[in-house]
Amino acid sequence: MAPILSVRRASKAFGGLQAVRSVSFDLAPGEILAIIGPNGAGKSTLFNLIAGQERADSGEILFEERPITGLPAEAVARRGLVKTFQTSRPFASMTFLENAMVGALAQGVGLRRARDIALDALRTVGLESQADAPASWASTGQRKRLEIARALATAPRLLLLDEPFGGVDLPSIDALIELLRLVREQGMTLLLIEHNLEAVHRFVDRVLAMHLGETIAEGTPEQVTGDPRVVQAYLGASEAAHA
Amino acid sequence: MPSRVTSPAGLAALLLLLAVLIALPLLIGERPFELRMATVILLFAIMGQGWNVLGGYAGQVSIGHGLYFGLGAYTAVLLAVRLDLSPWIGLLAGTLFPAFCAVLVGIPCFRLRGHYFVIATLVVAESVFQIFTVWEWVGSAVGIEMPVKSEGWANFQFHRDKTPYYYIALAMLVLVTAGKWWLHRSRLGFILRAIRDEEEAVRSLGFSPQFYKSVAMAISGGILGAAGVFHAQYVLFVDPFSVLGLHISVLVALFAIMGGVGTLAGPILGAAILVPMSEYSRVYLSGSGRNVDLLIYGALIMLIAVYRPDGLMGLWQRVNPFRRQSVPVRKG
Repeated sequence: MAPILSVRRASKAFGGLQAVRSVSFDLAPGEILAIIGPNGAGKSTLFNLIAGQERADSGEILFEERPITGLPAEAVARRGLVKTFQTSRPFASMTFLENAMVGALAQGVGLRRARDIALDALRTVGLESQADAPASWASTGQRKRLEIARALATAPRLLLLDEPFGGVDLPSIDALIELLRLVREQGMTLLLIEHNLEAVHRFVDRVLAMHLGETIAEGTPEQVTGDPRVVQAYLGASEAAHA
Repeated sequence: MPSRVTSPAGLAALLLLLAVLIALPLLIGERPFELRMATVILLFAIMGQGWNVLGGYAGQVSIGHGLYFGLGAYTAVLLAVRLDLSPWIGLLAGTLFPAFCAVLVGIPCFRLRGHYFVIATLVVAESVFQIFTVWEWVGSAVGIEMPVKSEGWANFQFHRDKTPYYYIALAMLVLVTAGKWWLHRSRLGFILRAIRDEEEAVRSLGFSPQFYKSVAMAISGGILGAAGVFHAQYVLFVDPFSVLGLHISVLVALFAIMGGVGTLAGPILGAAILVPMSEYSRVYLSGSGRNVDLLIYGALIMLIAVYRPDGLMGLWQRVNPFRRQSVPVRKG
């Protein structure tokens, strides 16, 4: 089966800093891939290159075998590749339902149909009972789920999740993992950046580890987190020797 | 929020208000000062509604909107003076041309955010003002007079009794307000409000903020332009100071902000309170007027900024016993 996403030798520099250096990987339809790495590894820049928020200096990015390199973020999203943010960004003046409706409107439907789609999305993430509540009231966990609902309402084929567990308490992490499993069962492909390795272990298929802009390991969660280069990248050389 | 007008109580209140506004010239009687003031209130309410489309819904605060008011006024006068066209064609052209100019202004200005956008709108408006003060074809600083014609609806000129101007302004305000009510409940309104809240999030969902902000800019500029045409037909004269001056831009933004940004009734409320305040302070408190009403504005801005940053409508929404959440589509 052809990969849904192919990143081929993508590179990006900011002045003298090489943020992403010739990174390549494929993502199969229905797969969950997590990108891990310490701060400054280049994960967010790579995400931004894929989502169209930054333009790659070189390399190619294909979504469903069509090039998306250099397309603006809105064009990438219209192709079916939607990103959520590390710091959730709900539309604060709107209700939960209206937030999800904005996502549904991206499908080109009318308001009534958008409302039905939005309610389905809220139901999927377990926020249906909050539909008429102002989004500004949402807790961190609810914000994360609302943002996923908003993205789901666009009917994406690939979801990019930027630290979905960041700032979320333990019970909410369990619920989020269940949600992401459910989303995958519905046929979605997931690509995420995550620092919480314990959570990553519990539900992703494959992990790609980055350090200083480069891929240093790729494989199952067990293979990657056990890789000495990954341990060294996270803990530093001296601590790794004692690990 | 605006969708409250769909409730029976809201609709009844709206119809009652409309009936009062229709009957107002009869209640005022032979008092030209009050009739003029009522017309000016309606004019600023129209302008405030126009400003609010961009400033309130799309969250792009402009203090250069006097530009579109001035362009509308100049378009109407120039078409009448140079081509002897009907004022109603002038109204159409005076709406479309500023709308088009607004889109052009938006192309570079929307690349800027926040304070930088505000400053850019000011700079563009001020630049056009300076050009018009020296451009002879448009009358330069001296201005240009609208040809006086026989009074009547065909010529959009009423010399003895100014009541028809009041009704034209009222009709324009009703039309613009109805359009804004529709906008709030429309797909466009949803996306504009989302852009106001989180532009990057809107982009990540597949919408082009630049496109939607340009649409808002065009609607906003068009409404200001139509108000400018009305003003030109009312005073039969334009010059850069009266229609392109910075004070127009500031007042329009001020009325909308003090009334309540992003609300349907806010700009109307702002104009209804601030215009009489300005007019009466001009008459009773000062010979030349300007200093006192500006002092009052300054004090009001400080009071609202400190106590009710969401404007007078925010205050109303706080005390309104019928308030509810707005979900502007049917409940399932």
